[in-house]
Amino acid sequence: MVRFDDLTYSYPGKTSGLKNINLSIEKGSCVFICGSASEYKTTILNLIYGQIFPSSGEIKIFDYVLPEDKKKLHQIRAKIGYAFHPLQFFENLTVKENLLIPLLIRGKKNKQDINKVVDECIEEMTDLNPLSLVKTLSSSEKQELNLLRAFVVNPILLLADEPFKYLHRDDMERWIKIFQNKANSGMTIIATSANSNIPEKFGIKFYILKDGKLNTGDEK
Amino acid sequence: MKNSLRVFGILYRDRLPVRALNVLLQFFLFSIFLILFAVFFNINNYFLKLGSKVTFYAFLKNNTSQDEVTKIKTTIQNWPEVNTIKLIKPDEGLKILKKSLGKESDILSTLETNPLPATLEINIRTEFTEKIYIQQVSDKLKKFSAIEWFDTTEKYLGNVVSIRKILTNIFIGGTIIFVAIIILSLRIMANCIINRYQENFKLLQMLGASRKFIIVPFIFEGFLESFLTSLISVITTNYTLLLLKEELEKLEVNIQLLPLNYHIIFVLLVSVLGALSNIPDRRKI
Repeated sequence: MVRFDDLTYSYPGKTSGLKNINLSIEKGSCVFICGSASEYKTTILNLIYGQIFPSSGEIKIFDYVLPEDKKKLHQIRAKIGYAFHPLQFFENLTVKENLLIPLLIRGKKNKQDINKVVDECIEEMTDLNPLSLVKTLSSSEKQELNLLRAFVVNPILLLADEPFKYLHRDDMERWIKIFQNKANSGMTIIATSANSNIPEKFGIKFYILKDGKLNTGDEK
Repeated sequence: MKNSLRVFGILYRDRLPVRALNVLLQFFLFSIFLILFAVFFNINNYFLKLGSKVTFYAFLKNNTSQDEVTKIKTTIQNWPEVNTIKLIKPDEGLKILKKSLGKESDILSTLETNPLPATLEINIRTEFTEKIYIQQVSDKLKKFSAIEWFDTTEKYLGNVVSIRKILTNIFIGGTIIFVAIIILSLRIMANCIINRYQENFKLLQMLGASRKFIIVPFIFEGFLESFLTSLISVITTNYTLLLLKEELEKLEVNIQLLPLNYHIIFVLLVSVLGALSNIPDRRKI
C-alpha cells in the first residue's frame, strides 16, 4: 500500500531531516509513527499526501510513485483521508457543512446520498451536533470533527496527525477502537503520536522516529 | 462544475454585500461608457454625413431670363454627378440670410435693394465627391456665360476629415482608458473577495480540491455578474436615449441609438473581461 525506499528529506536551508527511511505498510494495517516534537512525524504524512516531495529516494503509494507521478497527485489524494494537525476548518460553517465539502470535492453528486453519508458518519462515530457552528466547538470536539472529516470520504488510506491530542481519555479509547475496526475492514491507517505508550497499550504496531531515523517499536 | 459551484455557494455566502457593491460600480461604469459611446457615434455620423456632402452655389447674373435659368437647371440636372438642383431666388436668399444672422439681421434693413443674386444650389452625389469629379463639375460650370461665379463647400471637407480624425483618436484613447478602468475596478473588487478567502483556498487544496475546482466558480460568477450588469446597463441607457431622442425630435434634432450588434459585442466583451478579471492570482492558489 505505502512503501518508502531509501527516502531522505530535509527542509530547504536545513541539514537535519529524514534520513534513509525504509518503510512498508500493508493494506488494512493500522500503524503509528511516534516521536517527540520536531522529529518530522508530520513530514512523513505530508510526503505520503504529496504536500512535499523527497530530496532523494521515492514513495510508492497505491500504484503511483512519488515524485515521479507528481501530476497525478489529484488522483492519489482522492483515495486518502487526512486529519491535519494543527486543526483547520471553515470556522463560519456548521459541522455538517464542513463534512459535506470533502465529499463534494471528491465528486459525489447525489445530494441525498451525501447528506445520508454525513449524517450516518456523525451518528456512528461522535455525539457532535451537525448544526453547530465550528467556531463554537471545544478543542476536543474540533479534534473529533477533524477525524470525522478524514473518515467521511471513506478513504483507502487514512492519515491522522496527532489524532488524540485534544481528546479526553474515554474519547481516545473510543477512537482507537474505531481505528482498529476500520483497519479490520480493509482501511489502512497511518497515525502519528508524541506518546508511544498509546499504541503500545492497545497492541497497535508503531515505529519510533529519532534523529531522522525510523526504528520499529521493538527496538525502543 | 456543479459540485464546485455548490462548495462555492456554501463557503462564500457572506460575499454577497461585496458583490452587490461590485454590480453597482460596474453598472455605473458601463452606463457612462455606453452614453459616451452613443455621443461619439452621433458626432461621428454627423461629420461623416457632412464629409460626404458637397454643394455648389452658382450665382447667376442679374439680367438672366427665366427661360435661360430653366435651361441651365435642366442641363445641370442631367449631369451624372448631380443629385439635386434648386433655384434660390434673391428674396428667398435674403430670408435665409436673415434667419442665419438672427438678432444681427437688423443690419440688412439699412440696405435699399436686395444685393443677393439668384443662386443655383447644386448637390453632388456622394459617390462623386472626390477631387477629380469636383474639378469636372467646376469646368462644366465655367462654360455657362449666365453664371457670374460659383463656390463649393468642397474646400471645407479637409477640415471635416481632420476633425473626424481627432475625434476618432480621442475616442480610441478614451476607450482604452475606460477598458483599463473597468478591468482595474473588476480586479480590485475580485481581489477584495479573493483575499478574504485565501485561507479557505489553502484548506480546500489540503482537502484535495484542484486549482480548477476552486477557480471555476469565480470565473462563472464573474461572467454572469458582468453579463447581467452590462445587459441592464444597455437596456437602461437605451431607454434613456430613446426618451431623449423623442424630446430632441420635437426640436428637430435627430439622434441615432447604437445599433444592436454594437450592444451584443459590448455585452460579450465585458462578460469575458468580467470572467477573466475574477480569476484568482496563481500566487494565491
